[in-house]
Amino acid sequence: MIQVEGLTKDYGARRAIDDIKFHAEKGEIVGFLGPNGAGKTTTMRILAGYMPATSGKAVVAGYDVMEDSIEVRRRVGYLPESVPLYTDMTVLDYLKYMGDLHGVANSIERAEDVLQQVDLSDRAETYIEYLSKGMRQRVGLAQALLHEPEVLILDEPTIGLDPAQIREVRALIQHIGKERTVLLSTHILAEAQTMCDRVLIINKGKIVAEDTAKNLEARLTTGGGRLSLRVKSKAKSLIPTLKALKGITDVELAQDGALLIETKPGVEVRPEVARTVIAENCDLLELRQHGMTLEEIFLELTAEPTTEG
Amino acid sequence: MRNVWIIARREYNAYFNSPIAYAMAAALLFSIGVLFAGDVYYSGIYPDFVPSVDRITQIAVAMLIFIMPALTMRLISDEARQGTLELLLTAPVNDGAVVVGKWLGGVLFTLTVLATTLIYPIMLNGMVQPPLDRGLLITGYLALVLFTMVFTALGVAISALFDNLVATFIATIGSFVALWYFIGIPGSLAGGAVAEVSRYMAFNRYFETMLRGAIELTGLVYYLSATAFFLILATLVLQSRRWR
Repeated sequence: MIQVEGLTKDYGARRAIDDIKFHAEKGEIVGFLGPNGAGKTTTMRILAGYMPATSGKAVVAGYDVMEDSIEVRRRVGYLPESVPLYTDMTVLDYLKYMGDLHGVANSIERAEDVLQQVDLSDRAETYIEYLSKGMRQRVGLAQALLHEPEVLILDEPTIGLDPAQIREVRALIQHIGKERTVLLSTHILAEAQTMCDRVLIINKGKIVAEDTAKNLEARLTTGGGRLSLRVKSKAKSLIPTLKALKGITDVELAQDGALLIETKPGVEVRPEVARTVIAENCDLLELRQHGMTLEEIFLELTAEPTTEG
Repeated sequence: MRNVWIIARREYNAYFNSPIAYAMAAALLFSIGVLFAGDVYYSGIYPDFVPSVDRITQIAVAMLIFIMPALTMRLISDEARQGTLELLLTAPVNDGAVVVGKWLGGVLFTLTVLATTLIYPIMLNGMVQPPLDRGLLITGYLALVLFTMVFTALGVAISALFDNLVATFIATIGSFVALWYFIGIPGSLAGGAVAEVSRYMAFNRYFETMLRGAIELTGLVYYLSATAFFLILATLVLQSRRWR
């Protein structure tokens, strides 16, 4: 459904994406994971037919995005990151307009259908300017679904939503993804893991890793962990004792007075650390496992040889 | 063609939701209304006073030069600013259809406002004896239609250039004034080939001929080809946005 090879885009002297290669099949949800400015939006814009690439080839739903842009656009549902909407229109008028532009036959009926899908039927006659951020996001999603596209390209589809809405949107995307190809971008690791069949990790315009969400998770959890420990006093005196514990590789005192503990991969040291703190007569205030930041994930993943998924 | 009409309809309807459009209609109707009141007043005092139609079209055009940029500035600039241009450019619509749709929506709205000004000559016609020259009225309004077509096309092209509405507005007024008032100046000052070209290019020359009741083929061709030229230019500018 999506076949990308050697895709490169330059903005003047700056290379936004660099020789990207990946594919996505029907019935697959592929996640683009990467920090802001990694090249996710640029790649998606090229695939949606918004702008041409500098070099390389991209085929979407059987058509080349550069040569048959209009045919590609007919078959792609696209939700840009900023969720642009005509705020001076009502939800229904807006969807009808977009449906007409996409050549949808019964655009009003179809608009009503997708509004039901995104649970916004009761807001059909509301002007878009009066909708909340979450509702606008859902209108944007409805717009992308209108013409029943074979491929959905969603740029940060859950950004700005509250937790309940995030759950709803994720469920909706997973449902849609059963019959279509979905390419979505996110900078949240957990989101990529829960929604996507396959994850592409992109950094500084290059795909640094590509794997199934499950494999990715396994690779990350075999990596070392990091704890932060906060005690009422005598933090410094704890360092040698903690360093001596099995499974701990390093302990250092952070500027804010907390102790940062590095652990070996896959070893649970928290109970032992807690017991030690009590035995040393220190008052334990906080013991917390740190999640990995995106930067750390990149370091972790790029350190290992990447396996093509 | 279908897409042109879909976009034009959306633009036309959007004007009715915007305060700028009402302000423009009010300004135009007010200025022509003042002239109309004057005509009515004079024809009351001097029984043989014959009001002229071309004064209405003259003032309409002077107003349009300053009002139309406020209408055309939003056509593409505003979509770029709001990000909705990304939706339009990823819909299965070619860039030419986007430009022509926008232009048509703008032209139809301006013509709707102009049509409401017809009420003045129609009322005036019932008040004065002999009645107004109907031929002059028709060529005068035809000139206004052609003017609207050309300048809306130029407005769309400038609107495709900027993301900032103020920049678009100022650039549009500047180009309108230059094209309407200044392009013919070399032609009236000097002789030679430059002057000849400048005279031919003068937008207001053909307009004034039409206000006097004559329709020149050269004028028609000139206005229509200028419209086509600006629409093509707008399409190229819009296409170039994809490369930025």
